[in-house]
Amino acid sequence: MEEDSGFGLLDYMRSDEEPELGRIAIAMGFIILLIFLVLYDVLYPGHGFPVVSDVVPLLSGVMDSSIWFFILGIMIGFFSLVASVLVGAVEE
Amino acid sequence: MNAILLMMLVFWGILLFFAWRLRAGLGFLGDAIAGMTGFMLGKALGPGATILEGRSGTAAAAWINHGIVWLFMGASITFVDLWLGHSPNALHSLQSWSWDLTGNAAFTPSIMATFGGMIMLMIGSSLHIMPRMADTSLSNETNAGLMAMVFTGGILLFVIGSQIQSDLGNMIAFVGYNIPALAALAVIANLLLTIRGQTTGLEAPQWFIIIGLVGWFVSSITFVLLGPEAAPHTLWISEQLHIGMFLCLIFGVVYYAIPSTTGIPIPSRSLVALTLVGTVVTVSPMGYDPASLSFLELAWLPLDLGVTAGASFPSCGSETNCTSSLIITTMMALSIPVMFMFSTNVLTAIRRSGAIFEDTALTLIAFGAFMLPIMAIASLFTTLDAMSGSNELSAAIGSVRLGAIWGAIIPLALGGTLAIIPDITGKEMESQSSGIRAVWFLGLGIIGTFMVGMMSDFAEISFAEAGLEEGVSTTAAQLEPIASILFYGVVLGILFLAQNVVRGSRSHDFEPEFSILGPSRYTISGRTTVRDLLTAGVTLDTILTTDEGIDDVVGPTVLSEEE
Repeated sequence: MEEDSGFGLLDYMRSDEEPELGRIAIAMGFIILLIFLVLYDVLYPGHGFPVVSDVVPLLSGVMDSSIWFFILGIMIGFFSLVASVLVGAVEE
Repeated sequence: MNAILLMMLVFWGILLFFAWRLRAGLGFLGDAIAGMTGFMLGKALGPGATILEGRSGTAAAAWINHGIVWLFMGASITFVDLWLGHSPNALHSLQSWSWDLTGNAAFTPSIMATFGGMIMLMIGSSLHIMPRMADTSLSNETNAGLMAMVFTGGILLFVIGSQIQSDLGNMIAFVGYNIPALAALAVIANLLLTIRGQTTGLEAPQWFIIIGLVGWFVSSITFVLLGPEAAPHTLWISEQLHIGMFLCLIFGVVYYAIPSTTGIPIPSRSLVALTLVGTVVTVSPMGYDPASLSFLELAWLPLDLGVTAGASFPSCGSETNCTSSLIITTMMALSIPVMFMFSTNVLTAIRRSGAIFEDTALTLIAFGAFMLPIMAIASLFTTLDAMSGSNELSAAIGSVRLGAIWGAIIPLALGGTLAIIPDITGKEMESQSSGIRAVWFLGLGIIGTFMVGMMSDFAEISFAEAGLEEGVSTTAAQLEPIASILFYGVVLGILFLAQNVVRGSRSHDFEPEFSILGPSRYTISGRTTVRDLLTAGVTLDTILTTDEGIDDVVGPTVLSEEE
């Protein structure tokens, strides 16, 4: 039996039918995404993301500071918290 | 008469009068005032009074849920503020949305969100503790629940107003600052009506809570009464009295939470009484920072009460009257033994329970109680240094303020609240082991931030002492980003605790129950012995649950069981 279910974020992204390694796959996805973002910043410093920057103006300067990575985490955390509250409200 | 002495005399006088009337009653006036207050809290609201259902315990739960979310927001905004401290233009891209979040723009909302969240947690706990100890129900549950929304709206308004750099923004922030005060006033009236029917004398936690809430207002009223001429001194002392009254409130919640969770009484009643007197008589040095002028400007400036940049008391000299310095130094120094009294009492009770590192709430309280005297002493040095005009430690005042708030005040407030949540909602946290892990995140995060921040500050101080007035110390510049990243641990810790509480609230459905003779439920995390359980106050009727059992209820771990 697994000792702990983790902090919850990944639990929302897995269905009951998801394979055993689903959690690892999702975690790897996040890590690869972050590596890509860092690499993009290193290779094209100060440049916005192709296409995405045109659609979302905020992302045109998003790589100017690594604080955005932390803010991304805060936003994910906040919305997961809101999701928990909403799920609770809908359940009742 | 000396302004500080006069202020303190007025403050103590009002509180003493209040306490005297609270014990003796208001005679024939009591019924009239109680009837009118009850009407104002209920029917006077019109349709507003029927918005919420008003089930027992819902108001306390609403305040706590709002508070914990604001606390997370406060931690997040504080992190952003720390980051902007070393990279002021890190978020300049937001200017494309006409949002100028550069420099110290995140400072004022960080204070409002953090303290707003903390006060909401304390009020939520008070709404449970006061009626429970009075053995009655809350006077007006609907109004109390409604006020949680009003309070949240006020904080939100302040945060929005603080980001609008214009007179309109200042006015929005001013209104946002005062709306929570009105909501808190309604809560105080509600609590006073609740304990009006109490047949026994008020218990110690009730005194702490009432004095803390009322003293919060009295310190502001005292500041206004003394007028703009005295404001350069009285404003800042008023702010320090606020911190003292918040501590009083927190002490009351913690003094209730430990016996109700563990079944073990607080070791020394004398120390409890001394703590109560001490928090009222002394002035807390914690949380002082002249940089909070920007916050006070938004809160008070429209009233034109003579807000100035930090308190400044003359040092003693042959021809200088230094009475103010002596009074404030004495009262701040006297607050240190009070912190030790509280800390010793609480840590002894928790050690006897044997629940440290097993129960999230008690571990958090223990951490806060351990850090409290340390942070109080550190704050005493920096605050008196700044107030006396020496300014030799002025570079460190921000780090000490941060350490005091997030290392001592917030853990105690959050721990006390988490301890009584099961009795309020009838629902446990989702996982104690995850909760303990979150406490580690929070604890290591704030200690790391404090240590690295202090290293950076003292590098700065050395740089200045070397006579290099121009430029910034390289060491300090390198350490500042590390300190801010470490503070992210605090953000994560609060987030994980909030998630744990919210998800726990839909995992179980215990009936709310309470017994001062012992805990109604006890969660075992890891291996334990019957002796430890008995030491923790478990009785023959206590329901034992294992942490793994709690985790099993959550969906995804079902897959794990199949492994």
